[in-house]
Amino acid sequence: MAVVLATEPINPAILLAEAETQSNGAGALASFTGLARRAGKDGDTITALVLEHYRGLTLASMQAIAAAATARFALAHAHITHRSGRVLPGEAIVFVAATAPHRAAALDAVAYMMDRLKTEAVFWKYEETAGGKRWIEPTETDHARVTAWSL
Amino acid sequence: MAVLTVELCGRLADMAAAAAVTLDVAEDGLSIADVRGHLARTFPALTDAITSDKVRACVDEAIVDDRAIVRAGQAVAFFPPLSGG
Repeated sequence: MAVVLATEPINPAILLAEAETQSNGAGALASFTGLARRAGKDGDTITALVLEHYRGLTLASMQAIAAAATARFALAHAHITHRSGRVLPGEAIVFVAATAPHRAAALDAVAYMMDRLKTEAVFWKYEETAGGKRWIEPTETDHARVTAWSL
Repeated sequence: MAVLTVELCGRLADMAAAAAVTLDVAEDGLSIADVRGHLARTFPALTDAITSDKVRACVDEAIVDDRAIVRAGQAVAFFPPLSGG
């Protein structure tokens, strides 16, 4: 399990290569990279996405999610790297990867970790636009997705 | 009296125009419900948010309920809904 809270830009290609070296002979490696958008919901230009975190609780919340995914999907390896700080459009916000014996578990584990990160990882974020700050909170869909995993 | 520092996270800091607030507490401490009440009185713009159950209290890096007692020197923070990913 590799869980990192990054305060500088991250390189998903390097992180994916690292995850591949941790496959331990497993047959499937799935990953997801979340990127900072260039346009907001209204079509306005976003100059940056700014993420705030809270002390050790943020990393602990990420570790709990990776550990739960590892147990639930019998992963060979789980990886979460999450940015904090100011992320420019096109830069990676989050990278998640899972290796498992078969693809279904790896793909599901990546979706599971992302759904939980959206609503349970200890971050707050806002979009910076010409008009000022816009705080982003999870949507009803985000909450429904995480609830569905506990059904 | 001693001083308790309360951090306001995420949009709460913008609403109060302060990232941290200090308040005087007696030696036997204050409940989180009392701290919420104090913040609502001090920052009217924060009232709706700070009295909502969607805003959770954190003491020494653990989420606590409104009955928890906090004393000077503890790390107290209020969390609006989390938003990672």
